[in-house]
Amino acid sequence: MEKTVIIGGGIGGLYTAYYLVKYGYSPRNITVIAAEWPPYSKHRLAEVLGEKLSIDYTYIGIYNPLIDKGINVIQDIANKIDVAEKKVLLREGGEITYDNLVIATGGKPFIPPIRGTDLDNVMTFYDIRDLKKLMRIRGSPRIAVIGAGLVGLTVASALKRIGAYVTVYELMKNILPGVIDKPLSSKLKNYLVRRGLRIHTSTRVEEIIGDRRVRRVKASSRIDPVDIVVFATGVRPNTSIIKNTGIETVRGAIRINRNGMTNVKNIYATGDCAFSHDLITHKEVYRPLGFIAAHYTKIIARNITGTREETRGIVPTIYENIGGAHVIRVGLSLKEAETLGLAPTIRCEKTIDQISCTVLEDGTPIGYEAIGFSERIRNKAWQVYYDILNRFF
Amino acid sequence: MVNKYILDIDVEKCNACMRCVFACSLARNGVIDERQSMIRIIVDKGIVIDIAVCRHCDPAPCVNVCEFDALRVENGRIILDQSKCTTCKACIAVCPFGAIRESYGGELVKCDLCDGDPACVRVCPTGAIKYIPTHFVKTRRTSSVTKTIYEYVEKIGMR
Repeated sequence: MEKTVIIGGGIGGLYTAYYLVKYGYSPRNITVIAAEWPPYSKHRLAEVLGEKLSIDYTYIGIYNPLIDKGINVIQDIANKIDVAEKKVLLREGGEITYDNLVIATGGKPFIPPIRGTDLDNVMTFYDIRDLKKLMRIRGSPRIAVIGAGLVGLTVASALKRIGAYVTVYELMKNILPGVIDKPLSSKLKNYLVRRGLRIHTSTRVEEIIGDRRVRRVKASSRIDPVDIVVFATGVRPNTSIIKNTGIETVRGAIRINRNGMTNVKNIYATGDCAFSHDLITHKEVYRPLGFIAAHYTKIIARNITGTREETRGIVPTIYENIGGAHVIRVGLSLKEAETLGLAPTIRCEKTIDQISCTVLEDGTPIGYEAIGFSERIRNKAWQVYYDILNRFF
Repeated sequence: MVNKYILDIDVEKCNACMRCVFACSLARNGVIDERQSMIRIIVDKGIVIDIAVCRHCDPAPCVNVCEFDALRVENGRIILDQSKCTTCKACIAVCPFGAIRESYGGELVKCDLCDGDPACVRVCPTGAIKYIPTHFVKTRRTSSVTKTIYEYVEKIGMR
């Protein structure tokens, strides 16, 4: 019986194992190499931090049933892939041979190349170790969060909730630059500022100043005293393992075809280490989002278990609660559509507690974004979602 | 077999007594806690503007969007399997009713119709929440005030 080895114990690795078992693959022939175990969900880190809950809340429930079914888990780090011999070498010594290999090594946080990032109390907000560090905060430290993306703003809101003085720095003109467009983001910014978050947009952080510990942040036109600096400046693919394997990458991320396979036969990749396909434009895009990883795990598991299945592509569907405001995005944003070579227009409407915009291309919706400020999340994203599926799927 | 009954919500009849909210969390979790309730009464400036609870749509955008196998259709009900959910929140983005919500630690909760005997209906004193046959909902005369996405979903079909 052929063996499948999965490198990575995050969402990509875990759900590949789950779908393989679901589609009838023998659990005994699945090996997951995980650096961190039990597996947890990154989507829950900020919530656990903000609500001062136990770390147990971050764990994903399916790992125990999978282990009961008999999948093998090795807590180690994969060091090297030997494509010719079809084996994976482990850091602690030892090797595992495979017939199918799934690379789900995930991403790594990107830190801009500026001075002072090696000081104490300069950190990222990416994995469970970062959460544990921030959970030790007592009192009201001054915290600089660098980057106003989804991660930056959720962690900033959570930190504010536990009593810290938070300042957010964003290089771009708007907050959430990758998620929503200007009419919405300026409203969201006003809302968050009213709620007591300080946000500096169009501000480049130039240097972190301090002796051993961080003392100040030097940004475009200001120097602010701080106690902790949290970088939330994006994710890059973690692909160091594929060195000298001949696996093709594009701008650092593994290129996969619509079966989830790399250019090397029987080696698959999914998650933040790999590219994904966009449904609307059919282009390859790098979107480090959890459900995209899971989408490809399904495809990969199908292909390993013998059903040829191709993905038609992804429609991004994003929801996030940022300090009490709801942010919703389905399909493409105006900016992303422009980057992907379309000529979109945007149409916005305002209700009492919500602003929503539909992104159109030739009069057909290709995206929807909304922010809401009341308890009510109800919105029309689902219509656009079905419109997109009907037209492009 | 398809479920023949459905939660029918009439926001105008609701007086925000919160009984359904407390009954829901009590029935499901044994505690009275608004945050663990799967039904919410949304009040804005003293007026009930919405009752957010799952209508078990068909087709269901949340089931279509879930890549984690966490949402499934069972007997005409849409069931969320906590153990498979990673809180990616894609389902919240596409829910027409804002019915899926975050509880403690980002855990998502949604209505499962209490196995056919909804606790919220049992305690509702005004008839704002009813559990009635599906065909009855479809033929109900709707006032122009309640003309919302709800009606639209009715048109394209409900379980």
